[in-house]
Amino acid sequence: MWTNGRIWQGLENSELLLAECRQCLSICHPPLPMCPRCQSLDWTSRLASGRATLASWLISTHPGDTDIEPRIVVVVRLAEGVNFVSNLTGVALGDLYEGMPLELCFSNRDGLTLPLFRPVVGSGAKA
Amino acid sequence: MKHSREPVIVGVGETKYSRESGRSELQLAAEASLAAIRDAGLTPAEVDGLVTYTMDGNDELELQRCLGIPLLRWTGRSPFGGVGLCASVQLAAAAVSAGYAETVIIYRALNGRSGRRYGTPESSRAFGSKGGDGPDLHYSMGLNTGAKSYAAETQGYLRRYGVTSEDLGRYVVATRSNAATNPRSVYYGKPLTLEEHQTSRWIVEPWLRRYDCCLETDGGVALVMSSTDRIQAPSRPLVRVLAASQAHGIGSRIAYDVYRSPEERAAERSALLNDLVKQSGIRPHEVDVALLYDAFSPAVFIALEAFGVCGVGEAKDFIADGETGLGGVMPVNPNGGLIGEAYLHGVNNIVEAVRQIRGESANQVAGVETALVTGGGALILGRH
Repeated sequence: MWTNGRIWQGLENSELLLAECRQCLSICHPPLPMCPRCQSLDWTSRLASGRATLASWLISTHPGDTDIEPRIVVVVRLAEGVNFVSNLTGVALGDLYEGMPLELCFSNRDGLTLPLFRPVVGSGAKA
Repeated sequence: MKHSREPVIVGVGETKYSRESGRSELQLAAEASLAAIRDAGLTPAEVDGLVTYTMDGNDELELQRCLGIPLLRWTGRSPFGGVGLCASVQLAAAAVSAGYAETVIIYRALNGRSGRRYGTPESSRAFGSKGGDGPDLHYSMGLNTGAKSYAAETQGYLRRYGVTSEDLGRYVVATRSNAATNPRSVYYGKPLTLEEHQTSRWIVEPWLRRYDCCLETDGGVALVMSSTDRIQAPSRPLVRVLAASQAHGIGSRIAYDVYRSPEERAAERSALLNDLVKQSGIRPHEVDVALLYDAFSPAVFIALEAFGVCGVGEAKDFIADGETGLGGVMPVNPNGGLIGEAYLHGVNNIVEAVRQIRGESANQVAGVETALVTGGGALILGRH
């Protein structure tokens, strides 16, 4: 079994772990009990490289939101070839573009260590 | 054996759609079901099947007791909510066609406004429903409502084809104009201007404004499906199910569908299209009216293009030119849709398709023989 709990355990050590199939070496995110490629049940952890590109972004201004400070919610494409839901830090909404290079960082929120992303230095603003 | 039990929709009904029903969801389900049974000219004693969504809060056997159905022979639930819209019709039609039941009610009832509102964000520490040995990977990041999830999955389309908030607003204004002349609609008598749309607050910046999002509604709605054998002297024109298809490509998710590539989505749409044509012999863009699942306004643009009603990237011009209006090339959501009439997970759109085919809608399109309904798949309905 390789479940969400592994991801949270890794984050406590400031590591982003992904589920890797031991048989076909494909990465599965979010984790599943069976590998969709080869139907193996045998998983191991792969340490994410931390490199990613921006796929989608939004700011929630939803009434009644649990967030006091609105945050930029993003879907990023990890270098490992899977999408990952995260937040962006250190950049303004107006400067974002599809494919923007990002790097992993960590932040504590409500007692949880969260995996966030920030622009790779030099790519913050679109030319 | 030759199938002689062709499934047909024989009755439709609903409660009043409101923001505060003042009654239980079970009562709403019972009232809507009874209205549909009476519309069909039947009695509850003739019903022997019940179908709803997995997320509906009403137990089939409680509804059976309310209605006084002597023997229930078929129950079925389609996945979640809107993603199971067309599946609910498949389940009922399959039961009738196989002879597992003779007369099946499809129902959906909820207090979506006065009860728990759909738009309510999930807590960031909440555990998800699956793999629950840690906080949910979406909620913890603030991706915790349907609107946000939809904005994440659909913005690639909006960016690629330059669809602006104003473009979306033109659809919303058109559908609210339909709702304004539909007495069943929550927004009856309340049209919306483009300026009102453009000055409404962001729900998900910079993609969805308040009026781009569907209603939250209290109400119940129901359909009755039976067979041509069973209904010898119909009280209303019968409506045939010409095609009923689900299409869930690998990687699709009921919620938080943000992990797939545009290519995987396109393959899913193409499979759906092929299935509809194979079943009905009709291409979706050849129908007379379209009921498109507009939980959020961009969905209409994407559906118009996916079903070949207009070319890819052309939906914004097609809508701006009025071609989705009552007198347009493809009238869309004459009832006001889920943004303008009510949000009952799309079942109200099937009801509207039936009324259009019967020729009895509040906003009747001239000469409707066939209708397309979308939501987690698609239906093509036609006059018997």
